[in-house]
Amino acid sequence: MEYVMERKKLEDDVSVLSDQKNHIVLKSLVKQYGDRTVLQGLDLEVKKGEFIAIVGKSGCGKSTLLRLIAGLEEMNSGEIRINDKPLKQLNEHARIMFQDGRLLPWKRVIDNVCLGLPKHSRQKAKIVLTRVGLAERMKEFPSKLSGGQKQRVALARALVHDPSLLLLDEPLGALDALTRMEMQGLIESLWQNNSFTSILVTHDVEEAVALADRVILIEDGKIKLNQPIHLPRPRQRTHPAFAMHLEEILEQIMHQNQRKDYVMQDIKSISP
Amino acid sequence: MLSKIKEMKLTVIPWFIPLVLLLGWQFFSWIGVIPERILPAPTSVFSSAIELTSSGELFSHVSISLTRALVGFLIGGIIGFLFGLFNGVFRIADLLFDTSIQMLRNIPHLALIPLVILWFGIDETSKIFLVALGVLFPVYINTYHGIKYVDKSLIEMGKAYGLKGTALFFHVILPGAMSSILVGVRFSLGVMWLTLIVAETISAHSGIGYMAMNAREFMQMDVIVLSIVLYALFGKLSDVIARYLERRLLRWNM
Ligand SMILES: Nc1ncnc2c1ncn2[C@@H]1O[C@H](COP(=O)(O)OP(=O)(O)O)[C@@H](O)[C@H]1O
Ligand SMILES: [Mg+2]
Repeated sequence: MEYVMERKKLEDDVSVLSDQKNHIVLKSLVKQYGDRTVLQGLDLEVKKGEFIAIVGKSGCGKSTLLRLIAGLEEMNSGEIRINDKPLKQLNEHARIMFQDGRLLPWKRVIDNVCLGLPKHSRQKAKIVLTRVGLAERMKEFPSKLSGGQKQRVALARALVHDPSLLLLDEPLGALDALTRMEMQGLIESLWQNNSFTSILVTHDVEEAVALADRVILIEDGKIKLNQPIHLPRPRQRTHPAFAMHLEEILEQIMHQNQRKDYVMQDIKSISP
Repeated sequence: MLSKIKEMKLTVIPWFIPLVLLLGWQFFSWIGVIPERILPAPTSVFSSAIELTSSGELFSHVSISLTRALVGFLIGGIIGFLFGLFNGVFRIADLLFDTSIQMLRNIPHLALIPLVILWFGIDETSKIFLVALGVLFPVYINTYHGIKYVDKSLIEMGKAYGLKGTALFFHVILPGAMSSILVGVRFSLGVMWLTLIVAETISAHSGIGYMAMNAREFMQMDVIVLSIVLYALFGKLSDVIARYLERRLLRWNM
């Protein structure tokens, strides 16, 4: 008996010491809108500094999950722990970046980045804008920028707060393929240099494999797939191992669908 | 060089038709096709303007009218803006006031003139009251709608970035409602002049409208036309001011 207690204590100490401490813990999360259940008993643990990608059909509750982690909305039951403390209100450690950017059209680029910061932070905002490559456009209004540039501003606005958790809700979904690749590289290098935790929602499985330490599939309000990606960075899309990972995940997603989708199965069995 | 000529054309062309009309009017008065009794020539309107200006009479009428317009506009505009603000922001205020205001809005305020004269007599209070009442509703409606329908996703973003209370209001909600508020201001400037013209014409001891009614008794056609021209000029002036406000406050939208 005493031995077990001793051992338990030891484990606790180790987990405190190790850098791999859990940053975010979600326990049987349930979220309903009216009588529609979006998340039903979702469990997830994210380690400090980890890069998680979340994929899933549109409407499966990815944005809802991010809003819950950001503390923008209340869950119906379950628990969210951030750094081992239950999340009660707005998550101060987190900053969220949206698919549509949501820059304030009446504020110049620099003032958008300064949103919610004290007055003396302008210098810091300039530095972050330089890091995303937009320092010389800082006096312009967002309407003068391209889609990719707007998302860079949105990224700078999130990063200027030094968040320990960056939530990305399909941030590149509206961009063309080339701009998207460029932005993926930017996000990855910023993540590597700033050691924040990232949760990226995307509909692009290739993007998920290119960026994430772990790819998570949400289906029917639960996690259906939790796939670590062990590939060195920066990841070469042309590398055979990349293609293998991608295929593996796509296959698992298809497999999940097959079990449910009898129509699909029928078609498959007819074709040779 | 070319663009300069083009720019000049753009500013000159809109004035072409008014100029032709004015010259035509002068010409036909001259040759007697338009009798002085029906419509005095532009030159006689102009000379009566100079006459009234030098006697100081014109200045006192114009300044009293402008004061009434401005004071009424400020009182009505501020009340309408504040109600729109509170009802747009606070649900309890919305529930308490909106229905009543919407009901009052449906009474044409000019229909109240007989009542207002009995209440306040025919001095300043009655005119300012009518202008304020006319201005209040367009400002209210547009402020209320502007604030109620600010993009919800921007508000969510503001909250996610730690804004709340007054900071959220001044950085997100008010600028988001601004274009709608300015539509209300512009519309209410029109209502302001209309109300003032009617009120001054029906009952007043002073002001541009009184000047016109007084001139009618003495058949001074040139003074009547002068009053109409003055109203038109001031209407145009307030429109220019409203446009300037829009250009300044909605610069990001250009
Ligand atoms: N505020 C809301 N009120 C009612 N239903 C909502 C609300 N937000 C999201 N939903 C519903 O919840 C489901 C999940 O939405 P969402 O999380 O945005 O999906 P995803 O981001 O995966 O596409 C959708 O069916 C959506 O209609
Ligand atoms: Mg979504």
